[in-house]
Amino acid sequence: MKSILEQKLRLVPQRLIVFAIIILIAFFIMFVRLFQLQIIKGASYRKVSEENRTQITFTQAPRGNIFDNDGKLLVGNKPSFTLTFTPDFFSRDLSISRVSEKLSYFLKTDSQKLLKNLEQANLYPFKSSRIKTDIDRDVAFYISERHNEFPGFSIQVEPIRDYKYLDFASHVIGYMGEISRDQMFKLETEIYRMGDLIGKSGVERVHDALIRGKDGGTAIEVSAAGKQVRVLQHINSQRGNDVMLSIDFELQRIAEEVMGNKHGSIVFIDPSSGAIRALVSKPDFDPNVFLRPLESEQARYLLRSNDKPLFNRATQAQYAPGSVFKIITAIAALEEGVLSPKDTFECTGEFKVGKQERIFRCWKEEGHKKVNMIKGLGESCDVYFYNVGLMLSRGTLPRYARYFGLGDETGIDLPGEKKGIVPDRAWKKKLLNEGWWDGDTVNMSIGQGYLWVTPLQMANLVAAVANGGDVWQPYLVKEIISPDGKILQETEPKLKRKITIKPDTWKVIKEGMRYAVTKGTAQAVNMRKLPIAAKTGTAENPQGEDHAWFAGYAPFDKPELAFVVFVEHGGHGGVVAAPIAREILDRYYGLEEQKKAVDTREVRD
Amino acid sequence: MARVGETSRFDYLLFVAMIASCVIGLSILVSYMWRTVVAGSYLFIWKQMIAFSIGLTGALLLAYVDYRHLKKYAPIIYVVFMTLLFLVLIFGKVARGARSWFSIGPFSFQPSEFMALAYIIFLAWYIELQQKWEGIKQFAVSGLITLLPMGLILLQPDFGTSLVFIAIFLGMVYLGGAQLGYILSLVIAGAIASFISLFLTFAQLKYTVPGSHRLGNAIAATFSSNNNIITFLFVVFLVLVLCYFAIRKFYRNFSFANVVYAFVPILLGVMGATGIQGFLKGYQRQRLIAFLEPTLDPLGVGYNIIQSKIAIGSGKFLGKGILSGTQSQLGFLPEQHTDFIFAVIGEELGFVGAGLVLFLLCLIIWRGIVISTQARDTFGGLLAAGIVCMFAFHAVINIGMVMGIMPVVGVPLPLISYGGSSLIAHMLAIGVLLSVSYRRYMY
Repeated sequence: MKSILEQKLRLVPQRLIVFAIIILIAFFIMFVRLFQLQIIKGASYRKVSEENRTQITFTQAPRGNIFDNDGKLLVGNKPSFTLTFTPDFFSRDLSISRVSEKLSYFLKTDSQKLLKNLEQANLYPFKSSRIKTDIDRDVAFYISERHNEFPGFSIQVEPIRDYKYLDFASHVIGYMGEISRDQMFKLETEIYRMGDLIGKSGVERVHDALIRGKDGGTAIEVSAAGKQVRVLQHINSQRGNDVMLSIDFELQRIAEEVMGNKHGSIVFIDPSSGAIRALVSKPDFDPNVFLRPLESEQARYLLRSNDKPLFNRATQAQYAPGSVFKIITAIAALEEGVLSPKDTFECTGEFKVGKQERIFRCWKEEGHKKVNMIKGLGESCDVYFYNVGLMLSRGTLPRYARYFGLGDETGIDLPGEKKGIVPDRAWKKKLLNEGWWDGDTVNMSIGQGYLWVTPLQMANLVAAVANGGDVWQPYLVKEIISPDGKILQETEPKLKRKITIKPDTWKVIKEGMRYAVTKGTAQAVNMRKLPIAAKTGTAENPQGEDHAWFAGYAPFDKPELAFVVFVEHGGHGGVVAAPIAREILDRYYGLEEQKKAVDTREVRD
Repeated sequence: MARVGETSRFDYLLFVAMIASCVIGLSILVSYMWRTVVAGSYLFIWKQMIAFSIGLTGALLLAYVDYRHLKKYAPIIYVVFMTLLFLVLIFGKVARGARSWFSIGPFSFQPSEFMALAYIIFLAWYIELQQKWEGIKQFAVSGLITLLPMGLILLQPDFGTSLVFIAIFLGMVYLGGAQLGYILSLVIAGAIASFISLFLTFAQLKYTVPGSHRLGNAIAATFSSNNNIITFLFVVFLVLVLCYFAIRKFYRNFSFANVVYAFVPILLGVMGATGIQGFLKGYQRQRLIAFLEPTLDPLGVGYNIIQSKIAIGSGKFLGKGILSGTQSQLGFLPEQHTDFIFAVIGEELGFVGAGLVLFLLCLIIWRGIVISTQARDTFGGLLAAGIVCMFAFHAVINIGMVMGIMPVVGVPLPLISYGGSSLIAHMLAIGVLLSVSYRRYMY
């Protein structure tokens, strides 16, 4: 035999030995490893495999309800139907692809995609995998009634958020979305799991931890065949806490209706506490759509369109306050004692400033003739306030503006509130590297120029006028109530600042605002049954149509509500914003008064 | 030379080992399908049974026919299967991320599984045709014969299947008498290339915080940590280098030129590492090293390795019994009927069953080596050697993978994993072995 090898075989004999040894070593290592795994470590692996027999399923906790000020349910939960599939229960006699085709017809999904999901589920034959969430009720019943046609499929009922009035108060309530990786990281608490829905804006976001409740779960021991042997532990899910808002359902509803599809915002605030009674931002959105995957059209509109429906125009949009700011200018002048309310200026329709004699015009071209402070406020005479502004020492106007809370957050319990800007010499130097000119003062005295405020800030300002100097921290959440009815958190109205100015000053301002309603630019709200004090405003907008402001309070003697109506690109406050306020108040108080014809040329502010 | 009786000329031991392996594979498949509801699970069993029948017929036919006839057809066989590999890239069906299958009605056919056998036949023919290994020509041509099918398979892309060609190539040229210097250079270059690229991936995965790229720190940390596998790999690498120099010295032509020459494979290896870094995608590199520390990726590939180790380990000596393996029955194991079938065997049949499978594969390989030594000509000897390489590579990589000591590379367990093409190809290979064995004394 050896001779054959030598004669015929060109394979190198020593190499065959090396070759055999290498393969032998490889197999020897395999044997050793097998021995190590099964004999030496076998017992500990056996233990691990037994622990693997515990299956944990979570049950989602229902979120707390959200109510309005009177306990009307605004946001609750409704049962949603989730289709699950446990491959082990599927029948051998059926074709899975045919069943998936049939299902995809009912679920209106792509059958190939569905089949892929089912095949994915098949990796774990004894686990029930979620195939589709939030399916239609009819389809859910159809499937659950036909066990034979769809073996292994079952319908689970899970709570899903139900925004009962769709886009009602959507910027207050907020919407939900899947928790992001960043949020998981930041929150660092154990109550959130990947894939959870979390409040993304509004009250849903601010109080998410209190609203969401605690998920329950069941630990089940399963047999080798995957059948449930016994329940090791069961924890019931705990419903989240309820939230009671300060929002008045009727007022909010009327305000939203009257605003219609104009862009802008409306804020109604209780001047005795800072409680927000209505907060409208238009365009708005329906939070329900965020509970399902967004269709591309929807997503484009909600997230990228110029309408910016998610943007809260009451707290996040910043504009020049226009003539509403004249309230501050007037208060500053009276408090600093630079003039008496009776002092008059002659308004010729224009005003010259500085050596270049730059011309600043009044909104009324022919002029207001002789104007004192009450008439100045009421007819919103620009020339009167140009004069007043220049009489004040520099820095006085910004000081008073800040005193009333402009340039700072109001502290409302909503995320992302903007501060606005109160410009002064230092600000202008830093930002534009320019000095502060008299022209800047003149502009600022009528609320134009670099001044930026949010509608909520203006509402809070008129509330302080109405109540005689109390600057409250506005709030939306009145109470948080546990599922068993205990009040966990009650919002105490928080006085941010008490404005101490002479009572006479308040009186002049209020009379000026009343004059505006009876004889001035705010005549649109001159109602017989409800005395109102108000101030119109127009924010000049070099890019397009001016923005319309209207701020005021009612009733005049015993204020219950302070309000702001803001219409983006609306035009003049007295022409556009005031009628909106009129209609809301008329309907809210059930006055049913005839609308008065107003000469729009007289109220173009 | 004594004539051996007719009965002992047919290698019954090899034949029985093959049948036994197939039966074990089929049983596990039946038990797996018993509890799954994959559409048409009976079809799986039927398909495998049909493949087994075809394989058996083919193997017996090949055993009966004189393997020397293959010599005439060797180039044709190679060209035909290369063409098929080319066509599958165009007309093939995509499954599991690779365009590897022709589908004909309910059947599919994977040419890459047969390519290995066709390649063995062709390379054996080529090496026998050469009278001498002169210069680098024969080695280079053999390499080219290897790279062509490998390249086409990598294009599918099927990384695991392409690797077997390297193993077969090294085994066949080594036994065929190629210069040791070339082979060792190639091995060292490959070792360096894969070591560097895999090591970098490992270090990056383990020690770098996302966003920071302080690789130096990562490498330092890897060495300071008492990770025995890294140390082990490093030692293996050093031993390889030492062997290289020792062997060169043994051949007594050690000179300064040789030292310079020794750097060539190292340089090639470093260059190759860059190539691997570029060619393999991040997740592929992660897969390859997941066995070093599965906890790095406990929900991805690492999960599979952890679960398959638990499955095998928990089988202990006698196993949990057929259909009672919790790991496999509860679906913790992936790909139970294909790549991870050994884990099911380990769990349900224990050390006894898994050991038996190892033993059967060992037996086949042992018979293969014996047949290779006894073959009556170079062609037969090389055929047997190539087939041994194919079996050994598939078996060691697959079993090593499920036991967590080899990279996760998708190769089947020969004769046992589900998959008609692989089963038939391996059975035909046994048929060739039987033929070589049968004609060892014929002249």
